[in-house]
Amino acid sequence: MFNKTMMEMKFRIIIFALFFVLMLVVLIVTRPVIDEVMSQMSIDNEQLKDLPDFFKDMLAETAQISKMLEDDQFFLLSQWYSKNFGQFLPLFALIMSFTIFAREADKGTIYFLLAKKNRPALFWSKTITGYFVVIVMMLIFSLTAPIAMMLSGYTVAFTPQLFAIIVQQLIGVTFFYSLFLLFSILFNDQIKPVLAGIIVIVGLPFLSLFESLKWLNPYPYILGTQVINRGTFDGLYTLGLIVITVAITWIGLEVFKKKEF
Amino acid sequence: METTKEKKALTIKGLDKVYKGGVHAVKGVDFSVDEGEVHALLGPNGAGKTTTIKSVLGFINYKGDIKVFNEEIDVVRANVAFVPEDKSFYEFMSPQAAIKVCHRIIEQFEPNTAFDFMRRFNLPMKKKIKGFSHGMKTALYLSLCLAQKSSLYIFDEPTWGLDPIRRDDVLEIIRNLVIDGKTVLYTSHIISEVEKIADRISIMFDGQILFSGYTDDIKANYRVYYMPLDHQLPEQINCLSAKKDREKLIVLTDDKQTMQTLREVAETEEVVPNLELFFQTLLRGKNYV
Repeated sequence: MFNKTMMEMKFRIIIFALFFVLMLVVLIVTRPVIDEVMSQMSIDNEQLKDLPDFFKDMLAETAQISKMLEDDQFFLLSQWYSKNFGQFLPLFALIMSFTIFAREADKGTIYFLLAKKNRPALFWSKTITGYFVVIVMMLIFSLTAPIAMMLSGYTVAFTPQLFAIIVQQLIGVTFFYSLFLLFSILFNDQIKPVLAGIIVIVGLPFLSLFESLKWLNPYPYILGTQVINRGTFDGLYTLGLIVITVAITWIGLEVFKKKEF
Repeated sequence: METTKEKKALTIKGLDKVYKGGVHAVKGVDFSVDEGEVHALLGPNGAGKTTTIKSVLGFINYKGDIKVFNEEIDVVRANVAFVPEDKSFYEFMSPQAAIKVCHRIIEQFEPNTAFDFMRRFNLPMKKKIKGFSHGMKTALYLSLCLAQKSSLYIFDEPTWGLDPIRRDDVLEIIRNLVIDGKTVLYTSHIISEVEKIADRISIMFDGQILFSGYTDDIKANYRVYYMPLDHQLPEQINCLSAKKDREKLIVLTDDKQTMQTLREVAETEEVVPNLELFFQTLLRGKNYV
């Protein structure tokens, strides 16, 4: 069953692997360019004196960021984990998960599997294979980025801060995977799980607009905002997401055990 | 002590299934399949055959009691092979890859047997299944099913899309399974096929079993009577079905006394029914009062 699921995911794995490699290459190649652009954005005090205060604050913030981006380690954390790679993780989880059960139901091949396998065994074999692919790919590209930057001559290191972001992204991507896998179980066609997933991906950031619902938006956690800004690992959110991921997986199992085909 | 013939491969008691939306697909069905027989589930489209099979295999939730070899299906699943009505297999695979996958997934799968069947059906081994015709997909699914070492084989419309030569081959293969001591539950709406291979039939209509019995018994025990259209049947007549067509009143019965009574009606013709006539008369006459 592992091999069969891998065969089905092969094309998507290759596409995402190429996409992540391309992003990483672009990031490293454009590193000196970004450095140059950011340095040009620093403005001296003589130029600042006639500008309104809010504009001065904004420029000061930009100048501070550009200063920080001169540091290779900060560049890696903010541009790879918090931007390029991190932002694509929910979409990566969706693309990897939505077909796992929905395609079998949609194409009618589920009868072949259900005739020979008990439902819990079938559920776990497919679910664990998906988790395995998502986690392994995530880890590979999390660890490849600092290695690639080191090989390109930049001063980066495997710091506790870097590992903290990787752990948060790992927890975050498994949460999204479990949610999208549930959609794949709930629906009998391949369109609805994708639509539901896109609504979740696009909709979650809007929760941040409401102060009381901010905590429901996992993007700051996945992008490691707190780790970068304060240098601290978000333990409580990590625990919460693990509990929710386990709960969603259990719900998925129960739904699959009772679902009619 | 029970003989082998009397052991049950499948027992269904009080099977009832109402789908979401209120469609009452199966209405309290009881029937059993003896070990070592070909049992055909016959009926028109929408009779409830596929729902019954889906219930047996646990694909849908249902009310009632179903036992396969006296166990719940999940206990004996490895011992059951199934060909569904929809013969969809993984279209990105070739038959060669399909055999490999089945070998990995199914415990009692014999790759060489699958190869032999596929060769017999002239399937291109390296071509993607996506490009297969309906008949080729059916042949592929049958090959994968027949390569499983199982005790019970369930076929839902197994000859769908096959040309007449392959269809006869498949019927022969199914018949040979029983000779090898296997049990077959088979659904079809093609009566001529059923007549060739079935030991016993159950006829379903509107979610109910109208008749269950041995095919040999039909000719031995049942008679069809064609009578004048204006003849009034007694209210308490003991018959399986009665119907009016344009010219005749047609009655199907196995009751000796009724047969005697009907023979005495003027211009009555008595016919020994084949399965086709039995099936048609039974179904068409069901609603006659």
